[in-house]
Amino acid sequence: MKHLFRGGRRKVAAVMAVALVASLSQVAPSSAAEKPKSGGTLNVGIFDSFPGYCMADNLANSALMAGRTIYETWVEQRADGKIVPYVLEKVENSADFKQWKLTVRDGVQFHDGTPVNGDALVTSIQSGRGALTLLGRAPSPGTAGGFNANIVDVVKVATNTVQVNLYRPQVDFLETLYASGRNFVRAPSQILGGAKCSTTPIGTGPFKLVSTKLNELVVAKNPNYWREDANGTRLPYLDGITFTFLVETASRVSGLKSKSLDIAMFTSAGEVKQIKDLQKNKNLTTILSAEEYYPSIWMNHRIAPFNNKNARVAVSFAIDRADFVKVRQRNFVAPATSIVGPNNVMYNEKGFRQYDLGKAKEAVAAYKAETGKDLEFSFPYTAGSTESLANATQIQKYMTAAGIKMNLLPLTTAEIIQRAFPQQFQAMALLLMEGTGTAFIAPFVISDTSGGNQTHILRRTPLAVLYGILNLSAFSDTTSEELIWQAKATANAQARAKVYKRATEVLQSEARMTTISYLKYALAYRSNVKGVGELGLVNGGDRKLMTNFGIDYTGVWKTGK
Amino acid sequence: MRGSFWVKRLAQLLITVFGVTFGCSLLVQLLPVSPAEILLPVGSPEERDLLTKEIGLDRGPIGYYAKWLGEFVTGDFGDIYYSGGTEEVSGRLATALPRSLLLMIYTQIVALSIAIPLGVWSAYRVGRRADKVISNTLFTMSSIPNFAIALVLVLIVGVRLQWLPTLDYQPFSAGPWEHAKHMIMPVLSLSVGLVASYTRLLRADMIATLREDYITMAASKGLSDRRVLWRHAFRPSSVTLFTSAALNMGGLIGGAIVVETIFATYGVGFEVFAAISGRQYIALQSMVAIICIFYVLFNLTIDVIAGYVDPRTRDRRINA
Amino acid sequence: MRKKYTIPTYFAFGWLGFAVFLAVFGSFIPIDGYQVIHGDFIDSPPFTSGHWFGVDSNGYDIFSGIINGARLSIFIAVVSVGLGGFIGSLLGVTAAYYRGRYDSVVNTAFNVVLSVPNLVLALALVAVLATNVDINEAVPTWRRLITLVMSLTIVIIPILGRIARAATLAWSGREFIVAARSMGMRDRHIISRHIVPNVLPALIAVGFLAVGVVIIAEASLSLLGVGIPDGASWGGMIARGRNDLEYNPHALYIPIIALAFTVISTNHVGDVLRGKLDRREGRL
Repeated sequence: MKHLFRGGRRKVAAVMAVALVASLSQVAPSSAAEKPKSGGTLNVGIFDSFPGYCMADNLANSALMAGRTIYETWVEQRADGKIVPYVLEKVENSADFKQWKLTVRDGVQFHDGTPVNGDALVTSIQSGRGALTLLGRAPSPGTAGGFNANIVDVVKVATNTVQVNLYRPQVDFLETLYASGRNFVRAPSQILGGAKCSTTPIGTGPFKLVSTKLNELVVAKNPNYWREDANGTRLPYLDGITFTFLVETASRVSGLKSKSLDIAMFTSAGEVKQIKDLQKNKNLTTILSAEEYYPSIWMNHRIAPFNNKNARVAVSFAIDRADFVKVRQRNFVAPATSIVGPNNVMYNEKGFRQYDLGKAKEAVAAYKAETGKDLEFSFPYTAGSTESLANATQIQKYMTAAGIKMNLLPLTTAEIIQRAFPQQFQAMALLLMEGTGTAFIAPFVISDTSGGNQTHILRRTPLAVLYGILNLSAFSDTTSEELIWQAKATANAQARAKVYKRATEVLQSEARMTTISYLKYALAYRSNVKGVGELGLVNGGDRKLMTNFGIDYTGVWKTGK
Repeated sequence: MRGSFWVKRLAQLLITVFGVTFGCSLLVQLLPVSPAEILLPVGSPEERDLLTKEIGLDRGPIGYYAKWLGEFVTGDFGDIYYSGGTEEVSGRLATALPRSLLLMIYTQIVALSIAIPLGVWSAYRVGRRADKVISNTLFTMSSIPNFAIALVLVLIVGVRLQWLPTLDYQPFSAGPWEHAKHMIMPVLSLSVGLVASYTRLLRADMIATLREDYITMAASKGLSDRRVLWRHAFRPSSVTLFTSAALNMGGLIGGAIVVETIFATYGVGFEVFAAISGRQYIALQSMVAIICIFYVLFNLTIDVIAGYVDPRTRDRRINA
Repeated sequence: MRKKYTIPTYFAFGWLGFAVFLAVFGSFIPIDGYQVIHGDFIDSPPFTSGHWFGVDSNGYDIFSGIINGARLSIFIAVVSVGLGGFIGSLLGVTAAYYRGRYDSVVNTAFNVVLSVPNLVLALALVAVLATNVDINEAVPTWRRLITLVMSLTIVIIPILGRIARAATLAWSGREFIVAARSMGMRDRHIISRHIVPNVLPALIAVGFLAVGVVIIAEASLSLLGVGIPDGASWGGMIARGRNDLEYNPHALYIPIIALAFTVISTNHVGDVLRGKLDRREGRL
């Protein structure tokens, strides 16, 4: 669903943090003295294509950045990680966290002129959980169905107010409503618009659609946008933006250097060399995201050999993470010490198996003693991508050292994606988990995202499959997920974090999956681009400067022509 | 006599188009997974049945082909399937096809206008230093893949010298110079390999022609070398050259994927590749059919031109 | 007309001999395999001790890649051009000679294949032939190799076939052929004695060029994920060196040099061969 873990390079986390702070301070003062100027257009180079804009079309990373110029989310994330209302005016919850009352901000309208109100909110949530699909009125929610499985029903209680009832108590329901920036405020006219849902995005964002293709999204200023800047100037400043999918890293780098692009985005998975080069370029500003993206090696519990714990333990022990980060990622990111990174509430080093060749060999021997077979498994990589091959080859080297036979499967990206979610591979690397909270972690590590909700609307339909396919390791043991649901019912933040960490410990000690290193994203822009990261959220507080979906373009402006 | 030649030629043209499109439609049938399953990965069985019917996959290979063909000739090239709805293939082709055709035509013009003088010259100077230098330079160039040439051009012309934009396409309506600026580098990257191949072909045929008696006679009549080369030797030697040029049409329209990607020109090559990797086999079938039609039409044109250039082949054909 | 062997000719034979030697005995040269990642030598320039040709940005030793690539690239090129050229010219020459319905069938078949971009053809073949029912079982490299050679052969057949056909058409109308026919000479003789020697020069010119074309075509296929897995051929090395252009240009230019030498050498050898064939023509 997100883009494949292709590898990467790097420095240590501390250096990264310093770089991030440095780049922040670098941006803010430079244009603080200047008054934002309206007008102008930007060309932005991105590394993901546009699969469509309906509920099941997952816009990945840099394409999500582009999509978010058209769409906004009901809630937004502050730089400190807290989720606050955005297109919503206000949020109230019952004491048991099972009822959530959401009130829509007055005066916001979609690009087609229809108002954003309680009905629009109901349609949006219902389409995201598949309820409208069931009635034959809207396309399938795709994997979003799994994300919203805890919702029992959605009722409009006033013109602009909606009540969401949950099956299990969920303190962090707003995180689910945010879905790492992916749960868009889509117009009912798009959702119910039939054949055009995937190709005609209608949102509330600062820009609206001009044209879109697989490789391009062109947007123009939304003259009726609801936000103004501090001086009362209506936002956004820019007249338009063109986002172009440029799969070759060299095209994005040379586009920036030749001034064909104003902004380009990069990933530490395979593009560290170029990011480091851009950081040295005086004509460009390069900003980095935090290391909040956690690619995992998923080990399929449903088939041999990883239905055996010793096999999973052996693999986890065998990977020399520090060496991998040095060789493959130029120490640009940190080696993993848990299945998630230190910024995440679930971060816990307990039970995480660090590199230990002796123990890896012991586990291989134990596997052989138990099953009578040598430990052998296959691992897909993206054929044609040197980065992906080199990552797989490097892992293969560690496996060979531990006496594990790892076969490489060269497959096209389409083949890998197609077979990943039916859980057909023995093991694979894929970046799914991200963020500081658990909304974008829990669905991938629990066996049934409905939390045992037997009354759920999709329960007896073929779409129920969406509850379980997100867990690529395909394990059915519920110990860890009970802990996760227990944490989600715990009001006290500290107590909640403790339970989350216990869940992580269970996952790690059972070696459900393992992580080699974390990942981050970079965005470079030319000196004529101003205002990056300066416009705060509507109720105060800053956004995160840079994420996997890049920057926010509402407050960005351009000098010169 | 002449009329029957054209009837034959037209019949051949149609058979080619039918052959290609039927082959593609068989491919859709031969897929290990049902296309409906690929196009609707999270759909219900009912939805898939509906789609199977809509595409016509329940009618067997011939029925499916007949349905596709019936729609194709009326300009309905099928749809690209998304999770939420569809998009018409014709819309995609409307933007991509002009780009690819222009790219192909410019590339052929550039390649031929460099290759013809070079080929004639090196045949004239066969075995001499000029011939060897031309030949070895061309062979070195032809062993560099077009994407590598593209990247080097981008680095030198775009990044270092900043003479030309490295990305994007501009239509002719945006101004001839704007259009040209965006086309120069892609066209150059694609033509280098062709120049080598065309020059070699022309040189080989020219050498053979220059040994003919009538050339010796023309030269002995005291005609200038230039006149003999261009008036008497070039025309009969260019048949293989034009045949080969015609052969490259299909590849240039649909196969310039990597160069199109590097310069963000995004023509038919990219659309074809996107259809393959997105498993949009119905769209793929229509796109390949379009490429095939253009290929066949261009070949026909070249045949006509070749007939005038070297009357011997025309006569042979008419007499056959 | 006897040609004296010149220095370039010795070089051409020398290089091809060397490349074939590498292809055959490369695996006995005592250096690490091409798949080994040298973590401590990433980005090393050429002439680093132990890594004569340097190391690319992923840690692959370029010398080792060149040796291994020689085997794959030469195998792919020789087999697909040889096979494709043989089948193609057989079809092309006979079609143009006999004309009639046989000619239209052959010509149409050529057109059908040529109008499908070779990439689409290769992708389709790989999808059907190089996929295992059990996804977790790796497709053996030889099967991928055969599939690849097959698709490249299919690409070559009509290209050389149509050129053979066009050249035969031009020659078979000539007086000496018409005369030979009217004298009752057998078709087989006319083709092998009079047509083939005259058609061969153009065919050889294109055929040797096709060697380079095939190696490069394979590079483009690797880029799209359907070539030889692991980017192990010269074409594959060039493809994966593309992101190194600004940083480690040697990762790109060393395989290009190897490829250029091979193409230039085959060109020279082709010229020498043609010189010999031309003498036959002279005797007519």
